[in-house]
Amino acid sequence: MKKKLIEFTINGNPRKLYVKTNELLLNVIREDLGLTGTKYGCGTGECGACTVLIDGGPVLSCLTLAVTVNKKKVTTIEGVGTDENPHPLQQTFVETGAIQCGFCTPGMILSAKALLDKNPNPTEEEIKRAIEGNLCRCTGYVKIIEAVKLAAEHIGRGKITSGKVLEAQKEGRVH
Amino acid sequence: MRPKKKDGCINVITRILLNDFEYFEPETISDVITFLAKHGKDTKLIAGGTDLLVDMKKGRIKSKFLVNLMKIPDLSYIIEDGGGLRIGATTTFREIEESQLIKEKYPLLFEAAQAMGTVQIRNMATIGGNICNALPSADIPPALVALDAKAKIVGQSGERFLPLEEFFMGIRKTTLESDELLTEVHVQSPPARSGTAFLKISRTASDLATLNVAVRVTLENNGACKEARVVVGGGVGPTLIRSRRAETLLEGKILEESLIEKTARAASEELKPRPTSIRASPFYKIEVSKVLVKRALMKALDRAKTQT
Repeated sequence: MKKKLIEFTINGNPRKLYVKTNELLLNVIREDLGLTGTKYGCGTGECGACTVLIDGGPVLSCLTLAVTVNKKKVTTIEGVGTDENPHPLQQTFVETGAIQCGFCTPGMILSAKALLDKNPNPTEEEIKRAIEGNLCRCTGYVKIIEAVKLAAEHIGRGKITSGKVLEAQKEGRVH
Repeated sequence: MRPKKKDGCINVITRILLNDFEYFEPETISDVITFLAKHGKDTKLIAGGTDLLVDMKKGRIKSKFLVNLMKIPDLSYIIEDGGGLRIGATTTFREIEESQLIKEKYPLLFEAAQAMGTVQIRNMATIGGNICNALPSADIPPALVALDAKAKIVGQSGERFLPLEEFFMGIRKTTLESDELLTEVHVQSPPARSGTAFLKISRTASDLATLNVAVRVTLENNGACKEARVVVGGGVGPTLIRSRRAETLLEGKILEESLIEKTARAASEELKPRPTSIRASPFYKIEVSKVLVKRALMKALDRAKTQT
């Protein structure tokens, strides 16, 4: 089995790693790096549970050879926000109830983050298009779309405080 | 009904790649050609990998060598050139979809690129991969054929240009020799007073096409149809089908709804969907094609009329 040295950045930290040429990025992230936030769902590019960002764009880590991320920037859910200081998306997902079982959430947040990073003011249609590659079997997507809308609003105001969702509900902006 | 096991759709490990291979990352096209001349028969070229790796996981494809094309800078571009458009083989669907040039001047390619897969897939998958995989359900080939696209193929003995329509030989079969590489797709800019449309029907918004249709209508100054292209894909035969019968019915005529309806029926009669098709029965595909071809032609006609 051939191994190759790759250098890449994972969540802002440079790493050097020997990987097998037929190893998938998903397995390197989960098993070698111990970052289990990225999920294995279908393995065939249907569900989006394994979504990570490579150089800012969402891709499927279960269909990416680890050797190909040499010299690239990989972001997983562990690189988004912290416990003390969650990303606006993470906070609005919690507050709107956009998380139920949580399995799709890491991929969903990364897809949404890629959208908001590029387009801070998306329409509902653009949000739907951005998360089309992430299947959720719990929420029915309505709350997820609300969460992304709210996060965009909060990012636009430059600040997020909890309770904003209740406020938005009172004002009738979300249900 | 569940798909048969031999199709590799069930009871397959998709967590790891069992196939072991030697991996190469050439940086120039000529390096690829040299490698292919030596090992072409044992080599798979990988670009986005969204089809190839699934096939490798399912054991449908095994390969001794894997050559990654994504590190070749000269293979990814969208360039306007002499009244046409050149798209490099490893240009991703996302790049096509986000190109302002394509959106404005080649809306058919924009519509087809946008209809393909999900954001993640479009970030990875390439136009060259979509073509060379030669799946009858691919989305970009019908649009390209409707624009009379040519494939630029480079091999040891030099380069050749081939109308894309002649590139496809069957399911997963192309005219590419084992030492050849598709490097570019060349599209002529549509003549004045042209309208195009791409329509697709699929089980979910991001699924492969159950049926897709790409059409182009070019009008004379007097409003009659000068030239038409009617291309149907989505598993209606071993390759996409360009309905010359439909095109002949339109050309030279003033396009009215009744004629377009008749044309759509003619196009549907040329389709040969497999009875074992997974996504829909042949009956369904043929019925839907009548509706989709008609809608696409009506849309293209409307668009052609607004062009001056």
